[in-house]
Amino acid sequence: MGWLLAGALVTLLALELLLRALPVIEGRIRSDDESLWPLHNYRPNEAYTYSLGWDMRHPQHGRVNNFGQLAPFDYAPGEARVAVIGDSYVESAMNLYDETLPALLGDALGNRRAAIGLAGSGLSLADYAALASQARAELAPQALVFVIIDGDIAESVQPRRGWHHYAGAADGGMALRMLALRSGQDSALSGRLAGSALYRYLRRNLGWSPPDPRTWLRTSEPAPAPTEAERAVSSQRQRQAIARFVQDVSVAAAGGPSCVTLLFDSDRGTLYGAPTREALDSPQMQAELAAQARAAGLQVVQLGPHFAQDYAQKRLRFDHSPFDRHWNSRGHAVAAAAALPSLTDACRLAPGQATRVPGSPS
Amino acid sequence: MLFNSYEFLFGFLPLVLGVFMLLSWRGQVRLAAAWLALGSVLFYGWWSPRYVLLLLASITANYWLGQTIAARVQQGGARSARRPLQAGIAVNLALLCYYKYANFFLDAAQTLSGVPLPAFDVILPIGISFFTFTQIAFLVDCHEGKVRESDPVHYLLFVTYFPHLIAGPVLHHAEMMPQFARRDTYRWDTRNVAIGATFFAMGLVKKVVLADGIQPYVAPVFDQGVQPDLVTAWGGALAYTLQLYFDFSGYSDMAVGLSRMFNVQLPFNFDSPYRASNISEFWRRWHMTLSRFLRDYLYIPLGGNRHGDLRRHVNLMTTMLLGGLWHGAGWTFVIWGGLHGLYLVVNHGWSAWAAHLGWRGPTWLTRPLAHALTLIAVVIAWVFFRAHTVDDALRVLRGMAGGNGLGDWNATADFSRQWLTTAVLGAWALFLPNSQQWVSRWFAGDSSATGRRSMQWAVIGGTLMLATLLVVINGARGVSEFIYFNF
Repeated sequence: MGWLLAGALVTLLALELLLRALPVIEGRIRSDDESLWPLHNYRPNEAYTYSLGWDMRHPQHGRVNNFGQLAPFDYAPGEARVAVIGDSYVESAMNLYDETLPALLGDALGNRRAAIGLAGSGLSLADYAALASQARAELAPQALVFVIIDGDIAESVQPRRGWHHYAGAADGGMALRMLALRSGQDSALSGRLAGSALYRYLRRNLGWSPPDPRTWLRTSEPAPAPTEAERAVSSQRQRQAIARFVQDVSVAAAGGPSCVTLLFDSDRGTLYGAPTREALDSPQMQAELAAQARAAGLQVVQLGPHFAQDYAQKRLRFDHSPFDRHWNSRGHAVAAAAALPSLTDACRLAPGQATRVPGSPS
Repeated sequence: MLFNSYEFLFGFLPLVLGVFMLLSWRGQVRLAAAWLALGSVLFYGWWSPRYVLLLLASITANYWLGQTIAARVQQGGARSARRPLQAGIAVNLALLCYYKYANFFLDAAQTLSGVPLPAFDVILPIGISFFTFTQIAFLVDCHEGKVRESDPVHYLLFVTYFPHLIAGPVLHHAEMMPQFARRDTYRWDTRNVAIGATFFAMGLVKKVVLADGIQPYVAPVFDQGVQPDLVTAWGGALAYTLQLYFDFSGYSDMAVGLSRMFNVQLPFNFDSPYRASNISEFWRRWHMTLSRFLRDYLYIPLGGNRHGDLRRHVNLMTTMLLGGLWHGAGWTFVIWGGLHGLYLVVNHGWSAWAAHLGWRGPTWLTRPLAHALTLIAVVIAWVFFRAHTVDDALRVLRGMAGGNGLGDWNATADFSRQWLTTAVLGAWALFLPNSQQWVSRWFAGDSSATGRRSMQWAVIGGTLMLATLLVVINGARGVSEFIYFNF
């Protein structure tokens, strides 16, 4: 029995050492104080390692800045003229910072720090609205660029632990709500275990949780398809959420509504011959969001034609792979080029211009 | 229930192995064999309980027929035994045809005649090809007087034995029944458990890390209807070539390892097949137990090489075409088998011609060429094996021939990763020792480090820990079945 345990322990140790040499996910822990989340996304000033999945794809190392965002520099109130808001596409942990949309926009405006990313994985329209409001209070950017990804609308009306959502308000409209992620302090044990590469690999790369033997005997039934009436209710709630989102973000940029840009992503796989993906957000809802944004004076940029044109010329794809559709460096470059005119023309941001906005906190 | 699942590793295996060893230790050998057979039937039933009856009916009928045939042969009535033999083969093939080939034949008849025919609504019972052919071989051997053992429990165990039931190796009763009858099988042997656990862990690594690691590069080329350029098409075809090898040889390693824990040795199924420098050698190294079956029960009865070159070539083509059809009811499998038949004919023709000219075997100069040619021929045939339709296969082959352009050799991270993965797995398949070579080195004799019982326990502990991690990885990614479960 002793030798059996010894063999198991030696293997465990070997696995721990092996994984320590590999890019297992580390850092990027949600901020302890969730009251200013998602602007202050992660615990600040910590190093992190990013990789994806069991085989640790797209490894990147970096540092979380003073605002808990992924950037190689700290953010200061009034310094950035543009805040790029979005989910993991904008956070872009799988890319070098130099190749991301915020970095490219900053470079185009003459100063790397002129544009910053404010983002978090899994955010939706509701989180974007909260983030924009927090950013206006603390950083006062002149312009906002929102990257809208499939699913952002549908998720914005779903209560999810750890995220914002739009819920029915007493006045019949929609109000922003958040379900806190943490119910208390992390245990000392989980803090200690997080020091183990093997534990982090299991929990974060694999998303593992202990198996439930009850599920072994249970056959999983697919969820029933929603009825017509349920679909109609869901669509109505999404429309209300869109209206509230547009209303919220119209006033969030110091430069006014014309300095708010919505960048709509597209189903890029069809360019390479892949079948059309079933969208989480219906085309009608996406069109509704674009139409309401235009009506409110916001800028709307559809990335689809830009991706198509670039692909026709260069034949380079915009995603990391068929299984990770996050933009690669080419995708970010096309998005930056597409977004720039809305900042320079509509918002009248000139390259190299002073960034201080009157009345902003200093 | 998959070998790489939680329920197998933490539920089924410890329970079946534990009770088996307990019964063996108490000297209840027959009960231990029955328990193992019961566990095997449960293992099958876990997948689909309704086909357990079909399996048991098939076993009962074949056992009874086998006894009838053997009794008549013993009484000197080989001729009178022929009728039950023919009936047995016909019933087995009819069952297989109904479940596996009925819709294929109906579809072909409909295409040829233009008359609309109804389709059968049947689900292929898992492992039917394996347990049908195993039992046909048993009947044939009964007729030839080669069957010595007739214990019904051992026969049940021979057919249902869970390590091989779903996807082989294709077993011969002569190599299994004596092992089930042997007293030595029913005891705890730490060395065998350590060897078995090592094989099992190596198989898991092949499946979970290597085969499933390269698998994502296959589907985008074969399943999405794209017109792949040369680089993409070869990338997909090579990825599948490696996926299939590591998936199936991984499964076979696990089967060999699991069986070894019960002190039963299964035949090896692979011997580094991609190292072959001609197609005959490839078939001596790839799915060796199926090759053996096709040779013994099809090629040789057809006449083999005993009736001249032309007949030999016809026999080779027939054997490989049927071997292709054995894998699945589809024209892609027929073409795959036909291609290999053609390769074998060309190979034999070339060998005869070279011998006629007085050429000796490949030299250091021509061997790499022969190796490369063999590998390319195998990869091209795999395209048909993997594609769902002939059109899909031709689409990929057109890409491999450069019909859709050369493609962009752009070094995006994922593109580099795909080719690096392909290179590493390719080098593994071509240059590293295979599983049985590793194990025979590690466990070579009692004087080796692993000859000590303490080390054997340590190996068991280590492989258990590694297997646990691999099963967790597999569970976290979702179900990943073995490719050969489809056949």
